[in-house]
Amino acid sequence: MKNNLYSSGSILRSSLLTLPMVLISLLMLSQGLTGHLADTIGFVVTVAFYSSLFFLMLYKGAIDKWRAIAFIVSAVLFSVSFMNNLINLRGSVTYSDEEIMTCEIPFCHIVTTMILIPAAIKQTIIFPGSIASGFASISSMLVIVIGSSIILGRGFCSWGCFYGGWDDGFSRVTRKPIIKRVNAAYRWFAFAMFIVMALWSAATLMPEYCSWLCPFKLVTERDAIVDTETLLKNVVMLITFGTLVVALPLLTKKRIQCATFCPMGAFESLFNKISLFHVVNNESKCIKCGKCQKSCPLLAISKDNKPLINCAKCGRCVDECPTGAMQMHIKGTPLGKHFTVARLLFLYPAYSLMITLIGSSVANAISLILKTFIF
Amino acid sequence: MKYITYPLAAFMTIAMLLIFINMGQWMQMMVQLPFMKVDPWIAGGEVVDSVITDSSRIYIHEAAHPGLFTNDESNEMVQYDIYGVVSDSLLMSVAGSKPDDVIKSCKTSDHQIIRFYRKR
Repeated sequence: MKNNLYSSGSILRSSLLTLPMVLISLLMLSQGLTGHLADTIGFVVTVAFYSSLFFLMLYKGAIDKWRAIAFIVSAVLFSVSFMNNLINLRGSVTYSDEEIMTCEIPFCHIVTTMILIPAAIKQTIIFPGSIASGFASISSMLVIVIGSSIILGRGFCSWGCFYGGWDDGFSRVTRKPIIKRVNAAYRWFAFAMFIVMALWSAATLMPEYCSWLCPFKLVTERDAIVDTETLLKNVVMLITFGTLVVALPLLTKKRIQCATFCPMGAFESLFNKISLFHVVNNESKCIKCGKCQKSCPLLAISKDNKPLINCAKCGRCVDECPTGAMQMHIKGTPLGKHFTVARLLFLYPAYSLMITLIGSSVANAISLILKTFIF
Repeated sequence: MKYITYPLAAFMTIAMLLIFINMGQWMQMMVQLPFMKVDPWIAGGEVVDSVITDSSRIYIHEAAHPGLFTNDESNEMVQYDIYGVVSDSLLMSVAGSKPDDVIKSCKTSDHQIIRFYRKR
Protein backbone atom coordinates (compact mmCIF):
# COMPACT_ATOMS: atom_id res chain seq x y z
CA MET A 1 0.00 0.00 0.00
CA LYS A 2 1.39 3.39 -0.95
CA ASN A 3 1.03 6.37 1.33
CA ASN A 4 -1.30 9.15 0.35
CA LEU A 5 0.16 11.80 2.61
CA TYR A 6 1.04 14.22 -0.12
CA SER A 7 -2.08 14.18 -2.25
CA SER A 8 -3.63 17.63 -2.13
CA GLY A 9 -6.98 16.16 -3.12
CA SER A 10 -8.02 19.60 -4.31
CA ILE A 11 -8.01 20.53 -7.97
CA LEU A 12 -8.05 24.24 -7.16
CA ARG A 13 -5.14 24.03 -4.72
CA SER A 14 -3.07 21.87 -7.05
CA SER A 15 -3.83 24.21 -9.96
CA LEU A 16 -2.77 27.27 -7.98
CA LEU A 17 0.46 25.57 -6.94
CA THR A 18 1.08 24.54 -10.57
CA LEU A 19 0.61 28.09 -11.82
CA PRO A 20 4.22 29.20 -11.05
CA MET A 21 5.48 26.22 -13.04
CA VAL A 22 3.25 27.13 -15.98
CA LEU A 23 4.67 30.67 -15.89
CA ILE A 24 8.23 29.33 -15.70
CA SER A 25 7.56 27.07 -18.71
CA LEU A 26 6.09 29.95 -20.68
CA LEU A 27 9.00 32.21 -19.80
CA MET A 28 11.78 29.71 -20.46
CA LEU A 29 10.41 27.95 -23.52
CA SER A 30 9.06 30.91 -25.46
CA GLN A 31 12.56 32.10 -26.34
CA GLY A 32 13.46 31.37 -29.93
CA LEU A 33 9.89 30.98 -31.22
CA THR A 34 9.89 31.66 -34.95
CA GLY A 35 6.18 32.07 -35.63
CA HIS A 36 6.04 28.89 -37.71
CA LEU A 37 2.89 26.94 -36.85
CA ALA A 38 4.83 23.74 -36.07
CA ASP A 39 7.07 25.65 -33.63
CA THR A 40 4.06 27.20 -31.93
CA ILE A 41 2.34 23.81 -31.59
CA GLY A 42 5.57 22.31 -30.26
CA PHE A 43 5.81 25.10 -27.68
CA VAL A 44 2.18 24.79 -26.57
CA VAL A 45 2.30 20.99 -26.34
CA THR A 46 5.55 21.12 -24.34
CA VAL A 47 4.20 23.66 -21.85
CA ALA A 48 0.97 21.66 -21.48
CA PHE A 49 2.91 18.39 -21.11
CA TYR A 50 5.22 19.61 -18.33
CA SER A 51 2.54 21.61 -16.55
CA SER A 52 0.01 18.77 -16.48
CA LEU A 53 2.58 16.34 -15.08
CA PHE A 54 3.51 18.81 -12.36
CA PHE A 55 -0.17 19.24 -11.56
CA LEU A 56 -0.55 15.45 -11.27
CA MET A 57 2.45 15.27 -8.93
CA LEU A 58 0.68 17.63 -6.58
CA TYR A 59 -2.86 16.38 -7.06
CA LYS A 60 -2.08 12.66 -6.84
CA GLY A 61 0.68 13.06 -4.28
CA ALA A 62 3.21 10.85 -6.08
CA ILE A 63 6.47 12.28 -7.40
CA ASP A 64 8.29 9.48 -9.14
CA LYS A 65 5.59 8.17 -11.48
CA TRP A 66 4.96 11.57 -13.09
CA ARG A 67 8.59 12.64 -12.93
CA ALA A 68 9.55 9.47 -14.79
CA ILE A 69 7.11 10.18 -17.63
CA ALA A 70 8.53 13.69 -18.04
CA PHE A 71 12.10 12.41 -17.66
CA ILE A 72 11.84 9.55 -20.15
CA VAL A 73 9.96 11.52 -22.81
CA SER A 74 12.48 14.38 -22.35
CA ALA A 75 15.45 12.03 -22.85
CA VAL A 76 14.05 10.47 -26.02
CA LEU A 77 12.99 13.77 -27.59
CA PHE A 78 16.27 15.39 -26.55
CA SER A 79 18.09 12.77 -28.62
CA VAL A 80 15.81 13.39 -31.60
CA SER A 81 16.39 17.14 -31.37
CA PHE A 82 20.13 16.83 -30.72
CA MET A 83 20.79 14.47 -33.62
CA ASN A 84 18.70 16.63 -35.93
CA ASN A 85 20.75 19.67 -34.90
CA LEU A 86 23.95 17.81 -35.73
CA ILE A 87 22.63 16.73 -39.12
CA ASN A 88 21.73 20.34 -39.88
CA LEU A 89 25.12 21.58 -38.72
CA ARG A 90 27.49 19.01 -40.17
CA GLY A 91 25.33 16.62 -42.16
CA SER A 92 25.89 13.62 -39.90
CA VAL A 93 25.60 12.36 -36.33
CA THR A 94 29.15 11.09 -36.47
CA TYR A 95 32.22 13.16 -35.83
CA SER A 96 35.54 12.83 -37.53
CA ASP A 97 39.02 14.10 -36.79
CA GLU A 98 38.11 17.28 -38.61
CA GLU A 99 35.45 18.20 -36.02
CA ILE A 100 37.85 17.30 -33.23
CA MET A 101 40.63 19.44 -34.71
CA THR A 102 38.30 22.40 -35.13
CA CYS A 103 36.77 22.00 -31.65
CA GLU A 104 33.19 21.48 -32.74
CA ILE A 105 32.14 18.69 -30.38
CA PRO A 106 29.26 19.64 -28.04
CA PHE A 107 30.19 19.43 -24.35
CA CYS A 108 28.06 17.28 -22.06
CA HIS A 109 27.96 17.30 -18.27
CA ILE A 110 29.66 13.89 -17.91
CA VAL A 111 32.90 15.34 -19.31
CA THR A 112 33.15 17.56 -16.22
CA THR A 113 34.57 14.64 -14.25
CA MET A 114 37.46 14.25 -16.69
CA ILE A 115 38.50 17.86 -17.04
CA LEU A 116 38.97 18.49 -13.31
CA ILE A 117 42.58 17.42 -12.81
CA PRO A 118 43.99 18.87 -16.07
CA ALA A 119 42.12 22.11 -15.39
CA ALA A 120 43.79 22.34 -12.00
CA ILE A 121 47.26 21.32 -13.12
CA LYS A 122 47.57 22.51 -16.71
CA GLN A 123 45.01 25.32 -16.55
CA THR A 124 43.37 24.02 -19.70
CA ILE A 125 40.34 21.97 -20.65
CA ILE A 126 40.94 18.67 -22.36
CA PHE A 127 37.88 18.56 -24.56
CA PRO A 128 37.61 19.53 -28.22
CA GLY A 129 34.58 21.76 -27.72
CA SER A 130 33.90 25.43 -27.99
CA ILE A 131 34.56 27.54 -24.90
CA ALA A 132 31.70 30.00 -25.32
CA SER A 133 30.04 29.77 -28.71
CA GLY A 134 27.79 27.28 -30.46
CA PHE A 135 25.31 24.99 -28.77
CA ALA A 136 26.40 23.07 -25.68
CA SER A 137 29.50 25.18 -25.18
CA ILE A 138 31.89 24.29 -22.37
CA SER A 139 31.19 27.41 -20.31
CA SER A 140 27.39 27.15 -20.55
CA MET A 141 27.38 23.49 -19.50
CA LEU A 142 29.75 24.16 -16.61
CA VAL A 143 27.52 26.99 -15.37
CA ILE A 144 24.47 24.70 -15.50
CA VAL A 145 26.21 21.72 -13.91
CA ILE A 146 27.84 23.65 -11.07
CA GLY A 147 24.78 25.82 -10.37
CA SER A 148 22.20 23.06 -10.41
CA SER A 149 24.41 20.66 -8.47
CA ILE A 150 24.85 23.18 -5.66
CA ILE A 151 21.08 23.64 -5.53
CA LEU A 152 19.89 20.06 -6.01
CA GLY A 153 22.92 17.91 -5.26
CA ARG A 154 22.61 14.63 -7.13
CA GLY A 155 19.03 15.59 -7.88
CA PHE A 156 20.52 16.60 -11.24
CA CYS A 157 20.65 12.88 -12.14
CA SER A 158 16.91 12.42 -11.76
CA TRP A 159 15.67 15.80 -12.89
CA GLY A 160 18.20 17.41 -15.23
CA CYS A 161 20.26 14.70 -16.94
CA PHE A 162 19.16 14.33 -20.53
CA TYR A 163 20.52 10.77 -20.70
CA GLY A 164 19.10 9.33 -17.48
CA GLY A 165 15.65 8.87 -18.98
CA TRP A 166 16.96 6.07 -21.17
CA ASP A 167 17.90 3.60 -18.46
CA ASP A 168 15.09 4.89 -16.25
CA GLY A 169 12.73 4.02 -19.11
CA PHE A 170 14.13 0.53 -19.68
CA SER A 171 14.07 -0.16 -15.94
CA ARG A 172 10.29 0.30 -15.98
CA VAL A 173 9.42 -1.97 -18.89
CA THR A 174 9.04 -5.26 -16.99
CA ARG A 175 6.51 -5.57 -14.19
CA LYS A 176 8.78 -7.60 -11.92
CA PRO A 177 12.57 -7.91 -11.88
CA ILE A 178 13.98 -11.07 -13.45
CA ILE A 179 17.21 -10.67 -11.49
CA LYS A 180 15.78 -10.07 -8.06
CA ARG A 181 18.87 -9.31 -6.05
CA VAL A 182 21.49 -6.79 -7.09
CA ASN A 183 24.46 -6.55 -4.78
CA ALA A 184 24.17 -3.06 -3.29
CA ALA A 185 27.95 -2.79 -3.08
CA TYR A 186 28.01 -2.18 -6.85
CA ARG A 187 26.94 1.36 -6.08
CA TRP A 188 30.52 2.13 -5.09
CA PHE A 189 31.78 1.05 -8.51
CA ALA A 190 30.57 4.41 -9.87
CA PHE A 191 32.91 6.16 -7.44
CA ALA A 192 35.76 3.95 -8.57
CA MET A 193 34.86 4.83 -12.18
CA PHE A 194 34.96 8.52 -11.30
CA ILE A 195 38.44 8.25 -9.78
CA VAL A 196 39.81 6.03 -12.56
CA MET A 197 38.37 8.21 -15.34
CA ALA A 198 39.65 11.41 -13.74
CA LEU A 199 43.16 9.95 -13.40
CA TRP A 200 43.21 8.18 -16.77
CA SER A 201 42.07 11.32 -18.55
CA ALA A 202 44.64 13.41 -16.70
CA ALA A 203 47.37 10.98 -17.70
CA THR A 204 46.54 10.95 -21.40
CA LEU A 205 45.04 14.46 -21.62
CA MET A 206 42.04 12.99 -23.39
CA PRO A 207 38.48 12.56 -22.10
CA GLU A 208 38.76 8.78 -22.06
CA TYR A 209 35.26 7.92 -20.85
CA CYS A 210 33.85 9.85 -23.83
CA SER A 211 36.35 8.28 -26.18
CA TRP A 212 35.82 4.71 -25.12
CA LEU A 213 33.05 3.96 -22.68
CA CYS A 214 30.12 6.35 -22.91
CA PRO A 215 27.01 4.41 -23.99
CA PHE A 216 25.02 7.54 -24.73
CA LYS A 217 27.06 8.33 -27.82
CA LEU A 218 24.58 6.00 -29.51
CA VAL A 219 21.75 8.47 -28.92
CA THR A 220 23.76 11.65 -29.51
CA GLU A 221 26.91 11.54 -31.64
CA ARG A 222 29.63 8.98 -32.21
CA ASP A 223 32.93 8.38 -33.97
CA ALA A 224 32.82 7.98 -37.71
CA ILE A 225 34.18 4.50 -38.47
CA VAL A 226 37.37 5.04 -40.45
CA ASP A 227 39.77 2.51 -38.97
CA THR A 228 40.11 -0.28 -36.44
CA GLU A 229 40.21 2.07 -33.47
CA THR A 230 37.01 3.88 -34.33
CA LEU A 231 35.35 0.57 -35.17
CA LEU A 232 36.36 -0.74 -31.75
CA LYS A 233 35.03 2.40 -30.08
CA ASN A 234 31.67 1.92 -31.78
CA VAL A 235 31.55 -1.74 -30.75
CA VAL A 236 32.29 -0.81 -27.11
CA MET A 237 29.58 1.87 -27.26
CA LEU A 238 27.04 -0.68 -28.50
CA ILE A 239 28.04 -3.15 -25.81
CA THR A 240 27.82 -0.59 -22.97
CA PHE A 241 24.49 0.73 -24.24
CA GLY A 242 23.11 -2.76 -24.77
CA THR A 243 24.12 -4.06 -21.37
CA LEU A 244 24.09 -1.09 -19.00
CA VAL A 245 21.27 0.97 -20.44
CA VAL A 246 18.98 -1.71 -21.92
CA ALA A 247 19.53 -5.29 -20.74
CA LEU A 248 20.48 -4.88 -17.08
CA PRO A 249 17.81 -2.23 -16.31
CA LEU A 250 15.25 -4.52 -17.99
CA LEU A 251 16.36 -7.49 -15.90
CA THR A 252 16.85 -5.76 -12.57
CA LYS A 253 14.45 -2.79 -12.71
CA LYS A 254 17.37 -0.62 -11.53
CA ARG A 255 19.07 2.25 -13.32
CA ILE A 256 22.28 0.24 -13.64
CA GLN A 257 24.18 2.71 -15.85
CA CYS A 258 23.46 5.63 -13.51
CA ALA A 259 23.84 3.64 -10.30
CA THR A 260 27.02 1.72 -11.00
CA PHE A 261 28.87 3.10 -14.01
CA CYS A 262 28.39 6.82 -14.59
CA PRO A 263 31.32 8.83 -13.20
CA MET A 264 29.17 11.96 -13.23
CA GLY A 265 26.70 10.31 -10.86
CA ALA A 266 29.49 9.74 -8.35
CA PHE A 267 30.73 13.31 -8.79
CA GLU A 268 27.21 14.70 -8.34
CA SER A 269 26.82 12.63 -5.18
CA LEU A 270 29.50 14.76 -3.54
CA PHE A 271 27.23 17.79 -4.05
CA ASN A 272 24.60 16.11 -1.86
CA LYS A 273 26.71 17.30 1.05
CA ILE A 274 26.16 20.92 -0.01
CA SER A 275 22.58 20.84 -1.24
CA LEU A 276 19.85 21.99 1.15
CA PHE A 277 17.49 19.27 -0.01
CA HIS A 278 17.79 15.62 0.91
CA VAL A 279 15.70 12.55 1.56
CA VAL A 280 15.61 11.31 5.16
CA ASN A 281 14.13 8.40 7.02
CA ASN A 282 12.06 9.60 9.96
CA GLU A 283 12.85 6.65 12.19
CA SER A 284 9.97 7.31 14.55
CA LYS A 285 7.64 6.34 11.70
CA CYS A 286 9.73 3.63 10.04
CA ILE A 287 8.39 0.06 10.34
CA LYS A 288 11.51 -1.41 8.71
CA CYS A 289 9.56 -3.03 5.87
CA GLY A 290 12.47 -2.46 3.47
CA LYS A 291 10.27 -1.25 0.61
CA CYS A 292 12.40 1.85 0.17
CA GLN A 293 15.56 -0.19 -0.21
CA LYS A 294 13.90 -2.64 -2.58
CA SER A 295 12.37 0.05 -4.77
CA CYS A 296 15.35 2.42 -4.99
CA PRO A 297 16.52 2.37 -8.63
CA LEU A 298 19.97 3.72 -7.73
CA LEU A 299 20.88 1.32 -4.90
CA ALA A 300 21.04 4.39 -2.68
CA ILE A 301 19.39 3.09 0.47
CA SER A 302 21.34 1.21 3.13
CA LYS A 303 20.34 -2.04 4.84
CA ASP A 304 18.98 -0.05 7.77
CA ASN A 305 16.76 1.93 5.37
CA LYS A 306 18.75 5.16 5.36
CA PRO A 307 19.35 7.14 2.17
CA LEU A 308 23.03 7.23 1.25
CA ILE A 309 25.26 9.84 -0.36
CA ASN A 310 24.38 8.64 -3.90
CA CYS A 311 20.64 9.39 -3.53
CA ALA A 312 19.38 11.14 -6.68
CA LYS A 313 16.16 12.40 -5.09
CA CYS A 314 13.89 10.77 -7.64
CA GLY A 315 11.21 10.45 -4.97
CA ARG A 316 10.39 6.77 -5.47
CA CYS A 317 11.12 5.77 -1.86
CA VAL A 318 9.02 8.70 -0.65
CA ASP A 319 6.15 7.44 -2.79
CA GLU A 320 6.58 3.79 -1.84
CA CYS A 321 6.96 4.21 1.93
CA PRO A 322 3.69 2.99 3.47
CA THR A 323 4.02 5.08 6.62
CA GLY A 324 5.51 8.27 5.18
CA ALA A 325 8.76 7.76 7.06
CA MET A 326 10.80 8.56 3.94
CA GLN A 327 10.52 12.29 3.46
CA MET A 328 11.93 15.12 1.44
CA HIS A 329 13.65 17.31 4.00
CA ILE A 330 15.37 20.66 4.09
CA LYS A 331 18.58 20.57 6.08
CA GLY A 332 18.41 22.56 9.29
CA THR A 333 14.64 22.31 9.72
CA PRO A 334 12.90 20.09 12.29
CA LEU A 335 12.37 16.50 11.15
CA GLY A 336 8.79 15.36 10.70
CA LYS A 337 7.33 18.86 10.42
CA HIS A 338 6.26 20.66 7.28
CA PHE A 339 7.38 17.77 5.09
CA THR A 340 4.84 18.66 2.41
CA VAL A 341 6.36 22.16 2.30
CA ALA A 342 9.86 20.70 2.00
CA ARG A 343 8.68 18.47 -0.82
CA LEU A 344 7.09 21.37 -2.68
CA LEU A 345 10.14 23.60 -2.19
CA PHE A 346 12.30 20.86 -3.71
CA LEU A 347 9.95 20.20 -6.62
CA TYR A 348 9.99 23.78 -7.90
CA PRO A 349 13.75 24.11 -8.59
CA ALA A 350 14.07 20.45 -9.64
CA TYR A 351 11.27 20.62 -12.16
CA SER A 352 12.42 24.08 -13.32
CA LEU A 353 15.78 22.51 -14.14
CA MET A 354 14.16 19.81 -16.27
CA ILE A 355 12.00 22.31 -18.15
CA THR A 356 14.71 24.85 -18.79
CA LEU A 357 17.50 22.42 -19.63
CA ILE A 358 15.61 19.86 -21.73
CA GLY A 359 12.25 21.51 -22.45
CA SER A 360 13.38 23.48 -25.47
CA SER A 361 14.77 20.29 -27.04
CA VAL A 362 11.40 18.62 -26.46
CA ALA A 363 9.61 21.53 -28.15
CA ASN A 364 12.13 21.38 -31.03
CA ALA A 365 11.62 17.66 -31.47
CA ILE A 366 7.83 17.98 -31.53
CA SER A 367 8.14 20.78 -34.06
CA LEU A 368 10.53 18.69 -36.15
CA ILE A 369 8.17 15.69 -36.11
CA LEU A 370 5.27 17.91 -37.17
CA LYS A 371 7.31 19.47 -39.97
CA THR A 372 8.41 16.05 -41.19
CA PHE A 373 5.04 14.30 -41.17
CA ILE A 374 2.34 16.98 -41.37
CA PHE A 375 3.48 20.41 -42.52
CA MET B 1 16.34 30.68 13.53
CA LYS B 2 15.80 27.05 12.56
CA TYR B 3 13.15 28.11 10.06
CA ILE B 4 15.56 30.34 8.14
CA THR B 5 16.25 27.51 5.71
CA TYR B 6 12.67 27.54 4.42
CA PRO B 7 13.00 30.93 2.69
CA LEU B 8 16.48 29.85 1.61
CA ALA B 9 14.98 26.75 0.00
CA ALA B 10 12.31 28.88 -1.65
CA PHE B 11 15.06 31.10 -3.03
CA MET B 12 16.57 28.04 -4.74
CA THR B 13 13.83 28.13 -7.38
CA ILE B 14 14.74 31.71 -8.18
CA ALA B 15 18.42 30.78 -8.13
CA MET B 16 17.74 27.96 -10.59
CA LEU B 17 15.97 30.36 -12.93
CA LEU B 18 18.73 32.95 -12.53
CA ILE B 19 21.22 30.41 -13.81
CA PHE B 20 19.35 30.17 -17.09
CA ILE B 21 18.08 33.76 -17.40
CA ASN B 22 21.53 35.21 -16.74
CA MET B 23 23.34 32.56 -18.71
CA GLY B 24 25.21 35.08 -20.87
CA GLN B 25 26.57 36.88 -17.83
CA TRP B 26 27.53 33.68 -16.02
CA MET B 27 29.30 32.47 -19.15
CA GLN B 28 31.26 35.69 -19.38
CA MET B 29 32.39 35.26 -15.79
CA MET B 30 33.19 31.62 -16.43
CA VAL B 31 35.36 32.23 -19.51
CA GLN B 32 37.51 34.64 -17.51
CA LEU B 33 38.63 31.83 -15.23
CA PRO B 34 42.25 30.91 -15.90
CA PHE B 35 41.54 27.34 -17.01
CA MET B 36 38.89 28.25 -19.55
CA LYS B 37 40.83 27.50 -22.69
CA VAL B 38 40.93 24.31 -24.65
CA ASP B 39 44.19 22.47 -24.21
CA PRO B 40 46.30 22.80 -27.35
CA TRP B 41 47.08 19.09 -27.16
CA ILE B 42 43.43 18.60 -27.88
CA ALA B 43 42.54 21.50 -30.06
CA GLY B 44 45.76 22.82 -31.43
CA GLY B 45 46.68 26.45 -31.51
CA GLU B 46 48.27 28.07 -34.47
CA VAL B 47 49.29 25.44 -37.02
CA VAL B 48 53.02 25.87 -37.55
CA ASP B 49 53.60 23.06 -39.97
CA SER B 50 52.21 19.74 -40.99
CA VAL B 51 53.47 16.52 -42.44
CA ILE B 52 51.30 14.20 -44.47
CA THR B 53 52.26 10.60 -45.06
CA ASP B 54 50.49 7.96 -47.06
CA SER B 55 51.00 5.35 -44.40
CA SER B 56 48.56 4.87 -41.60
CA ARG B 57 51.31 3.85 -39.22
CA ILE B 58 54.67 5.51 -39.44
CA TYR B 59 57.79 5.81 -37.39
CA ILE B 60 59.71 9.04 -37.14
CA HIS B 61 63.15 8.80 -35.70
CA GLU B 62 65.63 11.25 -34.42
CA ALA B 63 66.01 14.52 -36.29
CA ALA B 64 63.58 13.51 -38.93
CA HIS B 65 62.19 16.98 -39.36
CA PRO B 66 64.74 19.62 -38.55
CA GLY B 67 63.55 23.17 -38.71
CA LEU B 68 59.88 22.61 -38.43
CA PHE B 69 59.49 25.27 -35.81
CA THR B 70 60.64 28.84 -35.94
CA ASN B 71 61.70 30.48 -32.76
CA ASP B 72 59.37 33.37 -31.98
CA GLU B 73 61.98 35.86 -30.81
CA SER B 74 65.05 35.23 -32.91
CA ASN B 75 63.30 33.77 -35.92
CA GLU B 76 65.85 31.00 -35.82
CA MET B 77 65.00 27.58 -37.05
CA VAL B 78 64.79 25.16 -34.14
CA GLN B 79 65.51 21.53 -34.62
CA TYR B 80 63.25 19.02 -32.95
CA ASP B 81 63.99 15.40 -32.49
CA ILE B 82 60.85 13.38 -32.72
CA TYR B 83 60.67 9.98 -31.13
CA GLY B 84 57.96 7.45 -30.83
CA VAL B 85 55.26 5.80 -32.80
CA VAL B 86 52.77 7.97 -34.56
CA SER B 87 49.78 5.73 -34.66
CA ASP B 88 46.42 5.81 -33.00
CA SER B 89 47.74 7.86 -30.14
CA LEU B 90 47.32 11.59 -30.40
CA LEU B 91 50.35 12.34 -28.32
CA MET B 92 54.00 12.04 -29.05
CA SER B 93 57.01 13.02 -27.11
CA VAL B 94 59.07 15.71 -28.73
CA ALA B 95 62.55 15.92 -27.41
CA GLY B 96 63.70 19.44 -26.78
CA SER B 97 60.29 21.01 -27.24
CA LYS B 98 59.22 24.01 -25.27
CA PRO B 99 56.24 23.70 -22.94
CA ASP B 100 54.09 25.76 -25.28
CA ASP B 101 54.74 23.67 -28.36
CA VAL B 102 52.48 20.79 -29.12
CA ILE B 103 52.41 18.10 -31.70
CA LYS B 104 49.46 16.02 -32.69
CA SER B 105 48.65 13.39 -35.20
CA CYS B 106 45.43 12.97 -37.05
CA LYS B 107 44.56 9.95 -39.06
CA THR B 108 42.15 9.91 -41.96
CA SER B 109 41.08 6.91 -44.00
CA ASP B 110 44.02 6.90 -46.36
CA HIS B 111 46.79 8.91 -44.81
CA GLN B 112 48.17 10.31 -41.61
CA ILE B 113 48.52 13.98 -40.93
CA ILE B 114 50.90 15.21 -38.29
CA ARG B 115 50.30 18.79 -37.30
CA PHE B 116 52.53 20.98 -35.24
CA TYR B 117 50.95 23.65 -33.13
CA ARG B 118 52.06 26.61 -31.14
CA LYS B 119 49.78 27.87 -28.40
CA ARG B 120 47.66 30.85 -29.36
